[in-house]
Amino acid sequence: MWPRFRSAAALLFWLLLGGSRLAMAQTSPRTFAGTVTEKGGEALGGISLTVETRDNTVLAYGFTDEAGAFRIGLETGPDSVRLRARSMSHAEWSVLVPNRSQQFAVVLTPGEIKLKEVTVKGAPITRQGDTLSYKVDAFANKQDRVIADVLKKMPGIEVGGDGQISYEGKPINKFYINGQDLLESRYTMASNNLPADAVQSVQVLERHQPIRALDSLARPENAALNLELKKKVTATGQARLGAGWGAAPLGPLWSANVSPMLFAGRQQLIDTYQGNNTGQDVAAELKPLTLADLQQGSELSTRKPDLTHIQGLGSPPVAANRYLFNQVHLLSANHLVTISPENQLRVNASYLHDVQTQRGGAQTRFFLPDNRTVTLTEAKSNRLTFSNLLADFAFIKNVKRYYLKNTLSLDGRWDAQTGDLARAETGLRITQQARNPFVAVSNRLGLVRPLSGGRIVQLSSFTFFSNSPQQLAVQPGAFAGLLTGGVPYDSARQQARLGAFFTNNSAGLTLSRGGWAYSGQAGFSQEIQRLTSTLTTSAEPDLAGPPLRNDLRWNRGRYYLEPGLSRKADTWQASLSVPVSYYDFRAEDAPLGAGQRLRAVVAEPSLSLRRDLGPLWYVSASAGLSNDFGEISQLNYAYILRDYRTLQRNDAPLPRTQTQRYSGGFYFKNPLKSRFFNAFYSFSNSLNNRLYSSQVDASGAVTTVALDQNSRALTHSLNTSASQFISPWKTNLSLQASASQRQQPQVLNGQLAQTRTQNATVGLKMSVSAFDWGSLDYNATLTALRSAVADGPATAAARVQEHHASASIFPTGGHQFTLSGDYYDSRGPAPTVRAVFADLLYRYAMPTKGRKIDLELRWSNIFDTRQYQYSFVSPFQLAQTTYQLRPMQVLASARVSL
Amino acid sequence: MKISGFFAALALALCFTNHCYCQQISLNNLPFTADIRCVYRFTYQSDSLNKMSVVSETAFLFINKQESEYTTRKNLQMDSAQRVVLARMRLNQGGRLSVAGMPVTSINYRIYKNYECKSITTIETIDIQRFRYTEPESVLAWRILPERQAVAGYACQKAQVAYAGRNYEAWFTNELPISDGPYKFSGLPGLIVRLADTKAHYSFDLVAVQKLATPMTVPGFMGNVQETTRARFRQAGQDYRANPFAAMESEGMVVTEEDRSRHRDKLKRRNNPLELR
Repeated sequence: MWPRFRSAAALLFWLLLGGSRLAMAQTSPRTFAGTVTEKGGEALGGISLTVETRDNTVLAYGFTDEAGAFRIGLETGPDSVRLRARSMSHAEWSVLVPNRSQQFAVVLTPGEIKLKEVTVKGAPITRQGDTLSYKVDAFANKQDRVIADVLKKMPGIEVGGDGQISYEGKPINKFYINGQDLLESRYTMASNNLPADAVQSVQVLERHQPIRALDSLARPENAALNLELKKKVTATGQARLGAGWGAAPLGPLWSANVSPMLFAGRQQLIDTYQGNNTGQDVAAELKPLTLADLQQGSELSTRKPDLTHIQGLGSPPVAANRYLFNQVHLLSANHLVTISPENQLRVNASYLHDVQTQRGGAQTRFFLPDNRTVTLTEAKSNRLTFSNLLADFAFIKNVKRYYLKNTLSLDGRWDAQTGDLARAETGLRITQQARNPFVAVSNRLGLVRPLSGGRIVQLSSFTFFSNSPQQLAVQPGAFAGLLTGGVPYDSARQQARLGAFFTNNSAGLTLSRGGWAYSGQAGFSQEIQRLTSTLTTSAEPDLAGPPLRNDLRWNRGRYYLEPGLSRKADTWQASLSVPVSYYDFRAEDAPLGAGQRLRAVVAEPSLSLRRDLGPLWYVSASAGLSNDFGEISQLNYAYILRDYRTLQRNDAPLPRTQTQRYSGGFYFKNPLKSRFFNAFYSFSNSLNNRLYSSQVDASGAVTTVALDQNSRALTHSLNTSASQFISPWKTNLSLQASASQRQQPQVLNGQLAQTRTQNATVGLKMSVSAFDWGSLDYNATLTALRSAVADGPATAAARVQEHHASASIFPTGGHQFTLSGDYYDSRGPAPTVRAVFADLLYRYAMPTKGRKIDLELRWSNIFDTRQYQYSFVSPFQLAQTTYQLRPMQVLASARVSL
Repeated sequence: MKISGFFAALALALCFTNHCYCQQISLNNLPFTADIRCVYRFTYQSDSLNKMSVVSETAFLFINKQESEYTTRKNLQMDSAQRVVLARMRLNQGGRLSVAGMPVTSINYRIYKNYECKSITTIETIDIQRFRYTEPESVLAWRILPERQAVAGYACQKAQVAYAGRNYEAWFTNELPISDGPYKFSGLPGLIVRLADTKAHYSFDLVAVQKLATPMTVPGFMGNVQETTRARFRQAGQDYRANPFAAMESEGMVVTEEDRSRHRDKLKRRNNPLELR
């Protein structure tokens, strides 16, 4: 049907156009002919002659032959036309004549014509195969100092609050500098300190496989980032020193950052010392943001356990430098040395010391089913001390025919917390002291070796050992009713220690033939942990009282086989993996005579598909089934005082969650137009063998017990984002929207109800640097949240708005003024809360040659906003937390690019 | 000036010996001297079925008063690497063409256009043999359209042409009165600023035009060139693709079935040449 219609239309079109032209041509064919000679009579060949309209549209053209003769036929045209002769070595000649056949004798005068030279600016983003290259110059403006400032403005790339970089909504898996992996997972140390003007281009390596020996075989969904520096050998970095004053209780302020860097062919290094009491959270630079190579799944038992702690305050949803009262020092050394063409050694060592104080209050109101309301009010003043030593030593060989990497890591933390708390209802004052040290040593070994015939052998081994003796002292003693038979007592002391050993070893073989790859992996993991704890009270404990000593031995073995199959074609690929595991889990507390054993075989199949719809679009979908078992923190047969008002005992079967996940999305990118778009939807259905039931008593104390009953949670979520860079305006626009709904059962004071929580967020980001004299950044997020019980009416939606705007002007001579403001607004069932912040920055870039020196004056929190209130609403409770913020402060600093 | 004078003399001598005034005049394996350099971004899809097989290269059009040379940056690099190796071999120092670090390109031609003779001469390699054939500029029967638009900073006008099985749309500017363009495309009354085929498999975008302060010498290449016609050249190309190892085997080399199938796969993926017929 369609082709026939098309050919008919084409014929019609031809008749209309071609037919009419034919008719005209018959009536008036004209010829413009003649000769072209140079002054003096010499005939000129190869001269171009055009017959043009008055507005210079070429109608017909011709060239002169060796004898200088030309002949141009013209079928139609206006009444008068211009005949023009052009050549690179003669002055242009033209004449306006009536449109009829005629003869010309053109004489040209020699003379070079001035060539109109043009260099088209390269596209800001270019694509070469799977690599997108962003030109840093095209996105940077005058106020950008470090590369993270520029990354934020590149379409398709997002930088999270903690510095995590994402591309197309997915976190990157590697951060390279000149193709080398110096920092591995802690890359914010580079992105926050590397001067932007040392970087030529930022490359996104799509679907990047960090292990070169696996490159042809498996392509992960995540991309990597590579910074291409301008020079082969770059010695750079920054140094910044500042001093200032803050309103009481702040007093004198100081800040320092010295970060020398060297990037040469055979070695790279980034060293840094950073310290301040201005609220800058430098600890964020130690946060690992990517997974280790060859890591499979999460390694839960390698995290620092939280056995007991003081009653915390949490952190408000505003930028960290607004609420952090800190005194931090960070020292870090990172060296990568290429010892032979294929082998590298790397050392990353950091030490952090931070003392933070928090002040605030919390008021929680519980709406009980019997229409009673219970209110709990606490005023808190906490002091947290963190000391953290991290060291990684790695040997790396990462070439096409061999991958070998061994990393030995040390993680030592000596953390302490003290807290003073006052209860408004009872007038009670409580002091808390906690120590939570943690020492861990781990070793990770990975080996990948391609053999002949497309076979690849993989070995991986991970071993981890840790010890964490923690304690909490509370005065006056809590839970007298349960612990001392109702006799008030002076102090309670909780001691708890968790020692852990974990190992996971596997061997695998992969075969690839044509577009097919078969993989098989067999391995085992063993987790051995021992939890000992004692709760002592200053008063004689009630002998018939509850058990207060844990001595839990925990052993979890997993033996697994992971067959996988994948098919890769030009435009699509699919992969299926069906890991089957046998779990043997034992937990025993011999002194209490309690324990349990669980043996289970579980299969966790997953399927993922991807199809390219041309160079700009692709779609992907996945489905999977997973099983998660609980961890030791969810099992203790005797009581543990988690904090002064949480006394917890977990005497229930091991928690187990089975989750089905489905997701699908589509992605669009047009690097030539700097346009990116993606949208994905996911659905999960998880079945948990525990149902949590909360009991709130009249004093506000919450007792939570796990019921041995299945509960099912359904979650839908939809995410979409789009971004566009407008090159001539140096403007990046990005829009994000997401919505989710979660349904799950909950029991409060004996009543079972289905709860439904809905959440929607819209975000806009804009950065305009169109002019030399100024720039503008604006971002806003709107969040709406509501929840409902069963089919009952939903609570009024809580709406939170956040706006951040900053405008900079650059008057002449290296001066810069930046005024920025933050506005927070939350309304809904809780009282409306608004907060406004404003900051002013003046920067002067000194007119020095070579080294860049900036002088800065920063006036923060101009309105001296000292409190922020945050509310959390659920069908059963309204929690309002008040945080004390940093008052107004002024900081003067000098910054030198090294 | 001196060099171009030498060229003119050489050109004359060559033309007379060829018994025809307008033949290709430059000795193509000699260096070419250019006054103007145009840079194009050349983007092509080597596999018509796989839209991901898009490659972008930098191409140059070197221009002097009489003629022009068009080729890609990578092809120049390949030829110069080869020249170094051959020079070493000649000096008996032994030479090895190191494959690592060599640019990878499937473009192995240089195209010369003579402005006075209106001729297009192509020198292209099949396997290791270079061939030369010449076509008249009149094979490109341009049709000028009235549409006008600014492209890359130049006032341009649209034109269409069909060549070797593809239809092209071009934007040319008479602000640059050079009747030339990328690849074989030429013969319009101004330089071609943008050109793409209607399937968008091949496109050329002008990136820069520079008048060179001092004339620049474009390095030539080594080896003999065999004169042929376009028809015979295409036949030779087809023969080679059908049996790429014939020459090797005739020299006594052993070609395994694996090599053959890998090579066949490679050729299968390069199924979208610029010239379809």
